Amino acid sequence: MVKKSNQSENDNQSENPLGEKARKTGRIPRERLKPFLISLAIVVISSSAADILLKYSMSGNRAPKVHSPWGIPYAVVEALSIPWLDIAIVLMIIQFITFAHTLRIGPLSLVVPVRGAATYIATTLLAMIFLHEKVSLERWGSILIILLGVVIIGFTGQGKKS
Amino acid sequence: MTLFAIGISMAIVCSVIGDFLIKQGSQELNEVDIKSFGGIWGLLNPLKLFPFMRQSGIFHNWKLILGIVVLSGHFGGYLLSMRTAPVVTVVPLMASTYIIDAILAKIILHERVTWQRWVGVGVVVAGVSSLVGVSGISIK
Repeated sequence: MVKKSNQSENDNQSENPLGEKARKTGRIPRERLKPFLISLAIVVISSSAADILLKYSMSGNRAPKVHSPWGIPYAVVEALSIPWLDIAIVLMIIQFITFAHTLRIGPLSLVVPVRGAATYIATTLLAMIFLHEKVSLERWGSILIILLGVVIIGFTGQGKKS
Repeated sequence: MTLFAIGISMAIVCSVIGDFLIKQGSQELNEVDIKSFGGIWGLLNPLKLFPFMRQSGIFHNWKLILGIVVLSGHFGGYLLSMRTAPVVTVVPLMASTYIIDAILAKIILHERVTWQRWVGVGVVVAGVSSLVGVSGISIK
C-alpha cells in the first residue's frame, strides 16, 4: 500500500516545484505565503465585487427585457452596453486568473473552501454597504461560524519555518 | 424531482472536475512578472490583461480552457437546480463540493489533508447551511 502510494506520488511530479511542495506538506511554502494571501484576497474581492455589480446592473430598469427567445441576442448586446456589467466581466476574468495562480501555489483542499467561504462573507458585507441590504443578527451568527471555519482551515495552511 | 436531480448532480460534478482541471492547468502556467504590466491594477485595463494572459500561456493551456467549459456546465446545472428547488436546498448541497474536493485532493492529488482541515471544512459547511437556513425565511 505504501509502495503504491509512493509510486503514484512520483507519477504526479509536476513542473511547478512549489506546487509540488504544497501538495506533499498540505501547507503553503513559507516563501510564497505573501503572494498566496494577496492572490487569495484578490480572488475574494474581485469575485464578490463582480457579484454585487451583476446584481446592480441587472436590477431595476437597467436589466434588458426579453419578450421572446429571438430577443435574447439583442438583450445580450444591450446588457453589454451597461458599464457596470462590463466591469463585472473584467473582474470575473481577473478572478479566474488569480484563482488559477492561487491554486498554483496552494493545495486544492485549502484554496477551494477558503475561497468559497470568504466570498460568502465578503459578498454579504459588500451587499450591506453598497446595496443597503439588511443583514439580520441570525445571519451574522452564521457568518461568524463560516469565519471560524476559515480561520481553522487557514491555520492548517501556514508553512513552518525550516 | 428528476430535473432537480440532473441539475444538482451536474452542478456538483462539474464544479469538482472544473476545480481539478484548473488546479492541474495552473501547474503548467508560465511565471510572469506582474509588475511589468503595471501591477494587479494594471490588469483592470483589457489592453494589458490580454497580453498578460497570452504571456502566461492561458490560451494554449487545454486543461484551463476545458476547466472553464466544465465550470460553465456547473453554472447551467446550478441555474437548473435553482429553478426546480428552493435556494435553502441547493446552496447547502453545493457546499458539499468542499468536502468532495478535499476527499478527491487526498485520493487523486495525494495532498496532505490534516484532521484540523477536515474540522474546518465541516464548520464552513455547517455555517453555509445555517446561513441559507436563516436567509430562507426572507427568500420564501
